[in-house]
Amino acid sequence: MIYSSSTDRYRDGDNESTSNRRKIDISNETSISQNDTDSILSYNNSYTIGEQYPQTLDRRIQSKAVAEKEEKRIDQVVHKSIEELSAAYYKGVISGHLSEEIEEKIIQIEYCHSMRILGEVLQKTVYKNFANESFLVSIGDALLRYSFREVDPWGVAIVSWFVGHPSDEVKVCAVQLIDNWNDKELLYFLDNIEIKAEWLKTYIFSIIGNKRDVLL
Amino acid sequence: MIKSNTIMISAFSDKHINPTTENILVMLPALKDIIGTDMFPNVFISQNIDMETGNISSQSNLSFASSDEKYKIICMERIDIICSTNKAIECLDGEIEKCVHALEYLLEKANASASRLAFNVDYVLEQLSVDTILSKEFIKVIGFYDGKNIREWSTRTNSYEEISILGNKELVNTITDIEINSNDKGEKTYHYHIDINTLPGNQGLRFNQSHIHPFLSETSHLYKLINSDIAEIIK
Repeated sequence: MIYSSSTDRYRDGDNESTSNRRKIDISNETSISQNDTDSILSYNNSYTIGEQYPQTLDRRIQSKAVAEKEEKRIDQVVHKSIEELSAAYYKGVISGHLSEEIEEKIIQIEYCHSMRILGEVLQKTVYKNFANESFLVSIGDALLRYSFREVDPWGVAIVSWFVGHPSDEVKVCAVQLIDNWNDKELLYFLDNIEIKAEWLKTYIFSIIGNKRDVLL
Repeated sequence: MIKSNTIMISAFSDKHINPTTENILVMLPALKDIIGTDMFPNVFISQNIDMETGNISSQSNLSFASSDEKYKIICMERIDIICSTNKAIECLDGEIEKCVHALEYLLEKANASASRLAFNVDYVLEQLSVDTILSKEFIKVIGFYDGKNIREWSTRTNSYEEISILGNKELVNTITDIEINSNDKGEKTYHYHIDINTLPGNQGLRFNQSHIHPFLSETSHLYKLINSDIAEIIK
């Protein structure tokens, strides 16, 4: 979406609309809005900007700029890693070792970057390739190596997608992940799962049913 | 020809919707019913810096995207409901209604109040005869550019308008950005953005889910007025 510069500014909570400039009074070290006469309720938004010296504000503004730059760098890394994962998929299809290629690439992304980046890469990859059953199954198999604590909170999103997938193969992955991660709240995903294969229903009722008794 | 049209309805909320299993379990089917298509949850991390203390903190946030990539819901300190389409703005009442219901549902579920509400419309047109637009009298350029091929032009206007939300008077910024840009091939696109938002100075948590529909009713009247005036320019 193309945002106007005014939208960018109020996304940061600092609308620079002409009538709402914040006045920074260095001598009193407070920041007060010039526009409190339009308020319906009484308005008090004064606060102290850190210590006495304005250099502190400069450092914090610089820190904010550094943090924003870091976010952009992460976006670039995520984008590049998604492409690498897609390339690994095609390499795996050609070689016939799809699961191994995907798992190796996922471990590499985790090792070279972080679980946070891995989470964003996998969520975006699953979203873009939702119709690609073999790709999703390979990702699901690779995720079995991690504990729930490692993939929390994005692992829940991936499980929710797998549970709602039309393919039973992908739903098997979801059930295996829920079984492996051993978290009681994930069991609720299985309440409304639609399954055709009888053996899968049996799997769910027998193994996961035991977990309900233990975890709930 | 309409290239893209995006609307966004936002509420600056006092509650953060955490990306927990319970929230995803509860919200996913409800949002699917409201939007009318499968929704995919997504968890992403943002970094915030507290300008008062200097502390940098990471926060996990929840968002949803529809399977057809038309709707996006982002739940941070500000809740955004976004709809992207290439339909004309006059034909978006159904989409706006869905966005309103989604925002009402989220505020109700989170038991949250909001200090600000906003409505944005972003419109990109191409293959227009922008030279006709640029020749209109209201566009004042300095004499240097008379008769020249203008590659970029923009204007931004804001005024306060008074609206009524459930009997309470509220002032809103009514901002219109209009831009004409050229690409390397000389093809021009015409972009305008309407941003109607309650004043940031008033931080009172005075809006809840019952205020969203009245806010949209009032602001839709404003954006339709602006839109009809802009349509006069580009015809």
